[in-house]
Amino acid sequence: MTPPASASSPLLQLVGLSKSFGKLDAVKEISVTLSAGEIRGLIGPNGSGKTTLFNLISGFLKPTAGQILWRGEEIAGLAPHRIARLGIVRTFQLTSVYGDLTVMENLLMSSHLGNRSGVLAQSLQLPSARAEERRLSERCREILDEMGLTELADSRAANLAGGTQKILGIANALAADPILLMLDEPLAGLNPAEKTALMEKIETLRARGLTILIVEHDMKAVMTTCDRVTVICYGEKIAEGTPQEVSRDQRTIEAYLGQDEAVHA
Amino acid sequence: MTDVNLAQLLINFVTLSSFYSCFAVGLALVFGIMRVINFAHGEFYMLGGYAVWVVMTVASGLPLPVVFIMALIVGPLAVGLIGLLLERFIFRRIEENPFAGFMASLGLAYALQVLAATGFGVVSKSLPVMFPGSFSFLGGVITSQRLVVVLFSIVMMLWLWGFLTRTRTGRAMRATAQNKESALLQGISLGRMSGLAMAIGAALAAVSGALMGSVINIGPFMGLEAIWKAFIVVIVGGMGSIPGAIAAALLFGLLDSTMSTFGAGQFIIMIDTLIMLLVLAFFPNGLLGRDSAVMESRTAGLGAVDIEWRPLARRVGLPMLLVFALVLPYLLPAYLQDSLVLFTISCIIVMSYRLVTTMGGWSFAHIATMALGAYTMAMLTTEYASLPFWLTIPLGGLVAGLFALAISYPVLRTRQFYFFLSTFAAGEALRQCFIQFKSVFGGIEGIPFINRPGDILGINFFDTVNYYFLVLFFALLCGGIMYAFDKSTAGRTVKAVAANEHLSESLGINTWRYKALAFVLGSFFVGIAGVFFSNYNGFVAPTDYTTAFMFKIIAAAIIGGTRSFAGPLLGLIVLTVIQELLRDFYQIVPLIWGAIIILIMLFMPNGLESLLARAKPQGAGQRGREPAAARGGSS
Repeated sequence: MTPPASASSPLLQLVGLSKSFGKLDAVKEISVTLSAGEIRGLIGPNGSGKTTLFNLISGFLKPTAGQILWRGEEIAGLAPHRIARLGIVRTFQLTSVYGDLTVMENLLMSSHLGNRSGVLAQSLQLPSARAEERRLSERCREILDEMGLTELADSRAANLAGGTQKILGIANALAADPILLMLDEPLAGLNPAEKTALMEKIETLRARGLTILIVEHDMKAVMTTCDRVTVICYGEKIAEGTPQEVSRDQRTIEAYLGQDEAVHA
Repeated sequence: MTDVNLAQLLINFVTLSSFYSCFAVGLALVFGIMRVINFAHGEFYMLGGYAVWVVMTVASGLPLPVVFIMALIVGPLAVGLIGLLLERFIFRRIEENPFAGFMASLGLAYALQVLAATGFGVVSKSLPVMFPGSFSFLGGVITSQRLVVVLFSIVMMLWLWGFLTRTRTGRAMRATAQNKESALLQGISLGRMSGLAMAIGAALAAVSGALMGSVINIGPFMGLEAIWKAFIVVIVGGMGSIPGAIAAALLFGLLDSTMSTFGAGQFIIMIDTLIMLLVLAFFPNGLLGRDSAVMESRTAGLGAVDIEWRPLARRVGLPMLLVFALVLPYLLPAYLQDSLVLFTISCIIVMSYRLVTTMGGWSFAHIATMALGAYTMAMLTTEYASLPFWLTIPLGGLVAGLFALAISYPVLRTRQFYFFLSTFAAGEALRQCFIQFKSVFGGIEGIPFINRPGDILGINFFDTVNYYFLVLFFALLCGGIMYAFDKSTAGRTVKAVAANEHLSESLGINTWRYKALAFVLGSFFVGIAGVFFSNYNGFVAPTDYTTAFMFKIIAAAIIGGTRSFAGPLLGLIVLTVIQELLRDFYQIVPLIWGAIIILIMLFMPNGLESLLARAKPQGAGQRGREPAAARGGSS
């Protein structure tokens, strides 16, 4: 396990980030700093605010207080598509694929960001738009290759097995050309074999120089893959450090006691 | 009005608000429990009005106030029973598909209108004054009849409030509205709650109808006017929220009574719609509403078969179809040539409508938008400028597109239910503007004496067949562009956004822009259809662009399905054939369309595909249901 490149400048900084729904504080003054190139795990019991935090960073929710700094610039309150264009791309817990489209079409749709031709040129199928499409499909094929989906390129996404759909979801996110990839419970609902396969894929993404933020319940996967882990409970950050440090942390153990025995694994 | 009487204003305000709340609360109650927008709520109201007339005819000897009270008991009971039956046999069977529920209620609304028009006559009836005399109150005057309306509405509201807060059943209903799953865990029977909500909602509508019927005239289409206001009230209040509906009823009661007291009655519709659009721009779920459920709105319909013969159609079908279209007018008798022109124009309408639906919302403003194109053509070729007809073709499209662009910001921020209702309200407001602003748009008579274009290369367009070729050319041109758009990256992105908006956003797609693109482009083409429609007719009038017309287009889209490009065209052919076969019984045609829609929604909400699925449980069966599962989850 290589140590995180913590010396480099912070990529994403959450500063005193809070979000409340009425009287319920879903996220309370959380401060987290992500360095470029690290794989960060975000863990916590059910309802601790992990998904809310994801939604705040990706722009689906607006924070009540605090800042979200992307390379030093405030991005809180931007529309989700603008945040995605900055290089922060997320997946969803349930599904991150277009069920009606084939695997290849999924990736082409997701690489939309990279398409430099205008809507008019696209509608009229101008030569420039066609050339652009060729360039994008080349890149999509590379991603398919990397994620081991090449053989399934022409299958309808909805017909794929659960695990394969999850991989396609990540491939979709990759096609959007992320700098920070945020995975929301990528292992949920997968069988052990699928889990191992997916974690291997995530490991290979490290080689691309991607920064990755993972919300995950599977402690074994988090402890083996992540460089650093942030623990939140009832909307507050209670611990942060290397997997070894966190697993020895008294408050983390308390938070999980009786809730998720996997922490001892 | 020389001087404004505050007391009178107050009386008008109370009268209007109490009626608005009594009517709209029923709609909100049904939506809250069943997640169904009941379009037929207006028809329950209409039936309540006719109940007074029926009771009066049957018990003609009795004094009028007794008749009225009897009607207020018998009418709501009967209509409540109808509501109960409809819930049991229609809505409960499609409860997992709110889109189907809404469309079925739309079909029901039209069926009931036609039944009422056949049974009671199209001409509206005025009821005799049941409570003569009037009261003075601080210098304002209220007739006894209106006082009865106010008192009865307030009594109904109080009863409903007491029922929902004090009784076990009422509390169970509120629990169901808040959270179905936990209500189920509490042992509450959802079916019973839905039936009860529908019965109470229908009865409230009938009470409102009986009350209002005694003040205004009763007619088979009175429900349509009332439902427009009720939609605005529940949208602004937040759908399914009863306090929200009452608050919005008070707001609009105040606004409308003020405007009519100050002699600005003609602006009511415009102002109310603007307020609704403004509220939606800031609160896409209304003032007190919560996020409404997302639903699959692309239907498969007959168009599903298209997948099978598409390769064949491309190679052989299209040229043959073209030859057929060119020869067809010469094979038809004169009266069918006329139908053929209108059919071809309708082809442009349904293709443009499908383009709008690809972005995931079924607009109800499409036909009103089409009228904008027609009025643009009419005004620019006759009254205000003598532009050549040809120039008004793109201009008509442009004006229609601009209107769509203007309402797109608030309207496209809304989710499905709000989208139906807000576009319905916006379209109806536009149509009412044509009627109200007589000096500009010619009022209900519209603009007559529109000339067809002059000869080109010696082709005389006063000849029906020649005009048909003109329309055919533009239908092919518009259709070709729409087809190219549908297959283009942009067109596919529109559909991807509709299939999973959150995922698309998270991948960097500006979802609003693509939705607006489809909405505006579809409106542009329907504007062009409007130019031809009214030019062919030789006049333009608001009565040409009714909700019934909109209903026909929606029916074509449902029957044909909107998944494939050809679907709605196929649906249009089916409808046109039915219409021509029933030429001698034209009054009942909408009844048959309504019945077809209800049947399709009941037995094959995904069109023929779901029938195939039933025959073959494994393979094709999954197709219709997948899009729902493909939806991303984020809260």
